[in-house]
Amino acid sequence: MSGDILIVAEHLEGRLAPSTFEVVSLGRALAAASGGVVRVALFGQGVRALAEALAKLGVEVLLVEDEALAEYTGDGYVLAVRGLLESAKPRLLLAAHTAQGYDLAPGLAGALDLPLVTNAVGVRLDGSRLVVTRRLLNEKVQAEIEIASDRMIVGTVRPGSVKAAGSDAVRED
Amino acid sequence: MALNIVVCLKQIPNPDLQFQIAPDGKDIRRDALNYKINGADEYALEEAVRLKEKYGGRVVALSLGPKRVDQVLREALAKGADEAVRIAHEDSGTYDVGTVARLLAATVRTLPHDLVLTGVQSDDQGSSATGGLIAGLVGLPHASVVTRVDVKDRILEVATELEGGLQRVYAIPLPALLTIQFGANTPRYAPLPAIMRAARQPIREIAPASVSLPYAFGVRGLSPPIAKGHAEIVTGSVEDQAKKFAQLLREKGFVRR
Repeated sequence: MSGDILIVAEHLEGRLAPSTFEVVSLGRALAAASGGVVRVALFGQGVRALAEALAKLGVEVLLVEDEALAEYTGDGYVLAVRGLLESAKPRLLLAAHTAQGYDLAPGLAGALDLPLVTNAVGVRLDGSRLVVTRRLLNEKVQAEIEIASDRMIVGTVRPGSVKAAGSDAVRED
Repeated sequence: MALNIVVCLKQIPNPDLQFQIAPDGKDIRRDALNYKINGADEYALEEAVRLKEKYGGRVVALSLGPKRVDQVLREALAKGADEAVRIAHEDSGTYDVGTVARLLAATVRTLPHDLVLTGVQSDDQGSSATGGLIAGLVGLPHASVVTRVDVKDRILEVATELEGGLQRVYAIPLPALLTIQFGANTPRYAPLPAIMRAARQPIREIAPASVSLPYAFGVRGLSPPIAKGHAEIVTGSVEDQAKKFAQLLREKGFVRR
């Protein structure tokens, strides 16, 4: 399996969500470690300017424009991701753990029967395993969990746990 | 238009407690815990009962876990659920939301369901994923962080909450799954006669389905979180500080532009 990372960008009212830049930053760090490529999927209608803004971060942008994607819907985005997966075989799909991200990621993982880990504050690769740091029980306990799979792993990253793209530093918790 | 509603409820360790890590480092110490219904699930239960009261139908409360989970199901019966089902599952930790959701989904498929409700997140694992996973696995459309539900001609109209004080309204055909936000309603107290009646009602215990996972999951270890200071001190004149602060509030999405 490739070490490629696919990120689903989030945008609202004509702006990219700040958390998307954080996920891009994390994706770049992971891809650098795995020797893979980072691709950012941008779904919408009339969002070419946002695609250009993402491309400036030095990532490959997969722009899918369709009237049905003008506003986020879980079903629409799942279909759009499914379409991209026909040609790309990423190891990891990442989104921000936002109201939209944790709507999409579990729905996608369920529909395609994929492994899922959400609300990560730290993500790293350890050989073939994905190692994820999460916070439990009102933030009183930290857990490190691992997932190994020959299928694409779906993950969401808690906003504020990674520095936004522009600085390559990934905060280690 | 009677609705068959399944509401998924989770029993969690009371999150107000202090927790100690078990000697093997893979779980919290469970010998001195008390358990309660997950906060958001109380709103999901209330929404289920209100929808039944408004449109008619039945509410089945579904949970997963060891015998102690019956307490949550009895609470649901006392508050208006018609039936309670517990999937007997002895793994008290349930760190993997994928396993939990697959077990719940297997049972949801066997129950009549026009509408499946869950809380938006659990206060122990905080994955915000159980509902969406069940929806994807069962093949139901879904919406997350729901604050209002109406039903007209088998179409749901739901308001969902986004970051930055925004909301998005969806029309979703039934059958569907919704994850209910904290504060979506005011959960009721169960009257004493209902509590006494619920104590005598049967809880259907079923064996967990055998599910195949497309992955291997493991807990590497638990630790106390490392406290890190991320405070930013705003300096300058009062006017500069106010401007900077207003800018931060906008950047973080606390106020609308």
